[in-house]
Amino acid sequence: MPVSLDLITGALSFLFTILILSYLIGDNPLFKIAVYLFVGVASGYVAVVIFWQALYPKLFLPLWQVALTADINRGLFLLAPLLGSLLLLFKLFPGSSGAARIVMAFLVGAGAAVTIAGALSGTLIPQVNATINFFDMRSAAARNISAFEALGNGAILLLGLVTSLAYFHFGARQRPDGSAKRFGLIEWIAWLGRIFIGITLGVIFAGVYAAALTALIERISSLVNFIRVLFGIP
Amino acid sequence: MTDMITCPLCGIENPPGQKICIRCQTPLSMDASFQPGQAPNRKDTGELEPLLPQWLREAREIARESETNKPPEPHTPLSPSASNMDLLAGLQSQSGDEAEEEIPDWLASITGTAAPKPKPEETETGEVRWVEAGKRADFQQTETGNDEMPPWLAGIQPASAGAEDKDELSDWFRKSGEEAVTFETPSSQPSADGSPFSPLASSPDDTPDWLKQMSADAGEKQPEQPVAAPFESSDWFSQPSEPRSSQSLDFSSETPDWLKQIQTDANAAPSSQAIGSEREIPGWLGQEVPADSNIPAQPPASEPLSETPDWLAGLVAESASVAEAAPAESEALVSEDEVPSWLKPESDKSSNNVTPSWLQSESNTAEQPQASGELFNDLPDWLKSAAPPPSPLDKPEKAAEMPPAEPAKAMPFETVPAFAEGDLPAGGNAFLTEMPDWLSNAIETPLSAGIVPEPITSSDALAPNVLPSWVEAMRPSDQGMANILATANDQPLESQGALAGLQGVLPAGVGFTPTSKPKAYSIKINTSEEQLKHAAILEQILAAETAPVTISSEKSLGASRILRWALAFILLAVAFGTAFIRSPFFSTPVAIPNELNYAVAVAQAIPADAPVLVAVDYEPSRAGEMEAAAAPLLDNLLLIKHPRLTFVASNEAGSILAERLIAGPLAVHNYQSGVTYLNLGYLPGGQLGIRAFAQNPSATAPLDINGQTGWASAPLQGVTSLSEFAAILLITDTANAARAWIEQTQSVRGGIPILVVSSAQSTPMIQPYYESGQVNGIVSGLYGGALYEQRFNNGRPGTARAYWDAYSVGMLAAAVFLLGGGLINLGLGLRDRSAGKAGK
Repeated sequence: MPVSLDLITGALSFLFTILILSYLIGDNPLFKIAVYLFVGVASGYVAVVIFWQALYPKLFLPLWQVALTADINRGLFLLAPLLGSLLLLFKLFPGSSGAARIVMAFLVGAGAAVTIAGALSGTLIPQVNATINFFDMRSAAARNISAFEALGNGAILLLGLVTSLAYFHFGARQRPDGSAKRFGLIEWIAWLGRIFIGITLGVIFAGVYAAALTALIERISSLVNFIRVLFGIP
Repeated sequence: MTDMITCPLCGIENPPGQKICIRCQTPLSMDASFQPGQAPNRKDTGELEPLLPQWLREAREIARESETNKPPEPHTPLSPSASNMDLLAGLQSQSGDEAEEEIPDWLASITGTAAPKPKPEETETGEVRWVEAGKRADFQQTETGNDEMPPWLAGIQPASAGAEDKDELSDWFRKSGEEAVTFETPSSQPSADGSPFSPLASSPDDTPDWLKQMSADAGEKQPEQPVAAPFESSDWFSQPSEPRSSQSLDFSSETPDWLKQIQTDANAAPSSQAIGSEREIPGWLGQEVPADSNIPAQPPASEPLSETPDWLAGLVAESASVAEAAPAESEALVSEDEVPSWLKPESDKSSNNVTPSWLQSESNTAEQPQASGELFNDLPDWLKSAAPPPSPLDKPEKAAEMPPAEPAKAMPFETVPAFAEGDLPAGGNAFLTEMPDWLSNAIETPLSAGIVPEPITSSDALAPNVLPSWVEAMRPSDQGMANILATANDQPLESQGALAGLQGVLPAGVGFTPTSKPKAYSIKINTSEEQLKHAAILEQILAAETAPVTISSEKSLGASRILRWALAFILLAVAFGTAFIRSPFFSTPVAIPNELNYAVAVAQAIPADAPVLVAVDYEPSRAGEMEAAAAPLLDNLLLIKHPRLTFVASNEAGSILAERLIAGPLAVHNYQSGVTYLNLGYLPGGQLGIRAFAQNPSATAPLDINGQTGWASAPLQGVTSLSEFAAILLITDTANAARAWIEQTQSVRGGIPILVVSSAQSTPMIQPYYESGQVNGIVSGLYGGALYEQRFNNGRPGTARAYWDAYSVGMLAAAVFLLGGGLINLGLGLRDRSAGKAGK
């Protein structure tokens, strides 16, 4: 009787799920075995993915094509990533890690520029405009949102934004007894901002819990399905 | 030649004025060394009294007391000089009598030095002084006889004695014997006859000069001095004596204990047993007794005779003959108990072994002149040097012819013996046992009879270099020792430590002792209240720094472990239960959020068979949630629009998760890679890769995961840029991935809609992009998937619904836990607050 791949996959999945769940009793060798296996498999998988989905289609294959076609212009264009990749390997050796600085500087600089540009154009300006648009009745009407609702949402968003920013304002005056106290209005606004921050963190916690609970349920359902299939339970 | 100085060492004569010997370089000066006949230096050795034996110190103390208590007595012609020994000289000097420190005449005469003039003896009871220096009565003799004197002493006997060969020693020996006779016969009166010394009758040629001088001195002193003059030779014999009476002697208060014991023993013993008792006579004395013993009731002398030396046996025989001549006196002879044992050989000739050796030697010399060769064996060295050569006049027969009564008549005073009759114990040796060690040793040191001592010359006796230099250096000096002792007496006595018992070992330097009371300084610090307050604060700070901080044990760890186990058990039970039951008992949510409605609207607005870009960026751990959320949307889209899907991943696992998604929940649609969908794989570089892909998708991801050129495939047909996609569907579990895709595609995507299928944990951060219009719709987690599945996809594929019951129970449990925990904390807070108020 041939053993199906799904059974083997299901058995390994069941086994490693149990090993990971053994962390409930604390750190133990079974949990470590499962973690080490996942780390090892993930590293190997990443290496394969990097080679086959990054280096090979974007460096080695073009170089091979350049070599075949003798396209010097394309070859020179591919020389930069090749040289940069080789220089990055010097980071493996502390004595010659300086050779990779220029490559790292290029990567950091390019990444920072892209990130800042993307943040400005994709987050900061659009979010400012969105906050302003909450009080745009025409925009709200276009989205079928009533003016009261739009003003209410806008007011809450504005209040939450201002108060949350005020909470992170730590300027204060020194009292005669040496203690520091923020300005009264800022203190009151910061107190409101603390409420908004708390609500936000609560929502994030609820989302984390919901995601974790869904993952748990998925694993438990996987185990149950394996058991059902294994024992033929309908 | 008289001015020549003879070297004491080599004997060579040196010219007068020579300081050192021209031959041996021996110092000839008399200042730095002893010379024969030199008077001892005056030393106040009284400070050395602590060095003396205890018994001797007590005796000296009693003597002082007796001196101070008793009335002064008439001066006696003879002064009780101390012996030549420095130790005893110091004892004598303690009394303060300078005369006592003078060299004894007899010794001075012997050594040839001019004897000082006899000085009258100061008043001294002498009862205890006898212990120190002896006394005349100590040397009393039962009979006198010039025949007992050695020939060299006989030569200096006074002429009135009728014997030419008498000397001073013989004379006082004789007189001491007479004293004994007088004592034993109280009726006898002292004779008026002074019995002066006669000049030396021996041949002048045979007599040394110093002896001649001594004889001349004796002759000169004869008319001046009373009868006691002959006792100059022995100052301790010249002690003032009181009439002999054993009953009148009071030793109880002035005699040391050991002497009292002797007295008591002597009193207990009958006198009859003492006199003539051969059992007390040493054997060496008793050997001659039987030869001519006329003493009645004489016990068998078998044992004592064996102990008597030959020379003394002769004395005993002579004594016996004298006893025959004067039976009355013999009968009246004092017993041996009355006579100090160490004088018995000279006193009554019934010597016993108590006699000191040094005195025995003297007695031998006096009693056995004929055996001069043997005599010298018993003589001390210093006396040997003074011994005259044998003289034909020194015949024992002549000495025996002396009338025994004459010396008695010559006794000018009553003598008091040093010891009472019963002082001596029954055993003669008992006295030796009571004697101090230094004296016992001196007595017990026998002189070998077989060794004939060489004649002692003056250089041998007291040569200046006899004393080693170190001994000379150790000799106490008058002023030095006195100063040291005087200083030491003023110093404190160490009572502790290794120096305990020493005095003045750590003297304080002169000038270092405080001359006045040290000034008292106040140790109080002048501080203000504020300074004290600050000091207290500083002390508190330092104490807080040094005080160990107790680390509070994490008691909540045990509770949290139990809580964790409880929560895990509840969640696992719910998940397993609902998974096994599979019966939906929780309804799906009714309210549909706007972002979901807009997502459904956007999905339904996508044209059919349009290229749709699906960006996958979530972790495998979130695959269950993300698949449950994205599957209904994709299933609905594939079911209705049949879009050409192009998958691209912005993380390493996205491409394989996309394959899992197509092969899993969307497997029913039978989408084929390269035909209906294309997986371009991983976009490296993060935001750079996304930006590059947004700007030039074909150049950034030219190949699919199979290595095939996908841009010419059916799914990407007609698509060369990002804006040519009908819609962008972003499936991500992180807000950063959503923000990266939104930001980096903001400028290039144009008006194409973007839908976000996100995890529940990242939706709150993606929600602003929906509110800003950058995201057209959001399907959030299992909740959004379940809504989309139930409301817009007829319950397909059913994954979200399968998880929904467990998810609902889990969320309810979480709500209960949060609510319960909040209430518990509220209760604890109220209790603490009330407790705090109660405490206040």
